[in-house]
Amino acid sequence: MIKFRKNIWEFANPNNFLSIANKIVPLFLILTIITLSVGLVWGLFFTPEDYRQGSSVKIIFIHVPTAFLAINIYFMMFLASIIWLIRRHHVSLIAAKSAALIGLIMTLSAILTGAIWGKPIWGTYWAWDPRLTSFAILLMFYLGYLSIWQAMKFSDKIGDLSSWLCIVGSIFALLSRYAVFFWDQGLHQGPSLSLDKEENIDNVFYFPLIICIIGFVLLFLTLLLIRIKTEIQKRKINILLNARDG
Amino acid sequence: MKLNFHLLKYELLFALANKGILLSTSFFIILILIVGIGFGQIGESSEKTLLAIIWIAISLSSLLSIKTMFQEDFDDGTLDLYVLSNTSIETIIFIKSIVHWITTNLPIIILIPLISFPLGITIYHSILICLVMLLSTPALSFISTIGAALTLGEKGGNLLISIFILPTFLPIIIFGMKISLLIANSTYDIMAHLILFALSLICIAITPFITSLIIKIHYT
Repeated sequence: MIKFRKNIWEFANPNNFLSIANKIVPLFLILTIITLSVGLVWGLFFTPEDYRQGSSVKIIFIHVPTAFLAINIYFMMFLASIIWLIRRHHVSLIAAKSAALIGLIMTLSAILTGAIWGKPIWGTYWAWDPRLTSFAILLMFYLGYLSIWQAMKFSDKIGDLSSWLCIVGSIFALLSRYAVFFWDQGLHQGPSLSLDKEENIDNVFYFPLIICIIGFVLLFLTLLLIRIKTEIQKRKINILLNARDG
Repeated sequence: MKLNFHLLKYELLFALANKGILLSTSFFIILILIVGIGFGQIGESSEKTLLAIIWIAISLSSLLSIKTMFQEDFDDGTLDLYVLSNTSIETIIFIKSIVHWITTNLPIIILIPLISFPLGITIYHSILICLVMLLSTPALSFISTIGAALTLGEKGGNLLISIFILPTFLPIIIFGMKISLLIANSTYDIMAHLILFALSLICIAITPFITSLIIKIHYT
């Protein structure tokens, strides 16, 4: 039974975290499967074709959620790094480390689906358009963050270094994004969804898209929890092995 | 203040004695020529490509000697004394970055008119581009100290520095290239110059503090 907890920081204890994660991972998995299958089946098979783009419009149901996640996972890593630097909770550091690979794959799939969509509509797989360029920039920062973990062995010091790298990377990724957008607004259409805009995309596409985004976020959370669990257990094994070898 | 000038003088003399200047300028010239010859083979030798090559070459060569910036002091214990001493470590990083800029980027900037004139940029435009670089390259030196601090005490750090730091050069490179293009097309945009200069100043103001925080991680 889950006890009532005073504040959120109690989850920072790896054992508390593991006991809760073990309970909610299956739930998240089932929810992910349900929402993703509902969203994707509705989106891909039960929406009309766009009058200009034809059936290629349906790639939006994968492209928009992955692009949304690609940006927000980096933001999540930024927050987790700050939490690690201020409050020194290991789960936070491990969360940042585990999210990086998922974020890289989301970035790649957003670029790939965009390229597949771009060929029939724009006539090219890739253009140095500001939005596309900012995804290329994001990809570079993900690779930089992952390579610090690849190159060095896990320790608290490397945790600090990687957190600073993530923070510096976020600042410069944002600066680069605005530097790119300073010169032109580009080929890519504006955001499909926004809270402050009167006119979003048509409701026919809007509802399945929202379900797809929720499904992809749940997918990310499930994968993240599984990866954090694995990482905690890996670190436990390492500590035991070190203790045995003296 | 007097101590800082002494440190600046000492660092400068030390860097000059290491013959780093010759290495970085040779690297720059070889890179320009290699890429220029490569583009020449596929018939792409316009002014635009030359500008891009110059910017990429200057950002690569400013990373060339960055690894030694703190590594030697870290190995022989000078950095320990700096961290323990009264002088703020930010000042030391500031001085070291300036010395790095004087010894690697400044000679290259002086070389640019000489090398770009025979390759097809008019002498007037190349002097203007030099002025733009004079304003923006200090930021490159200051940003790359972050990479030097991150890979302190790490073997094979040079590759890691390039992976970490080259993406962070992007704002400067994007603005620098666009402005150089405007200059080459004989158009002028004061806003872009001001923003590039502001970016450079922000980097100079912030990076010594970030770098000092990262260096202190190695001493906890």
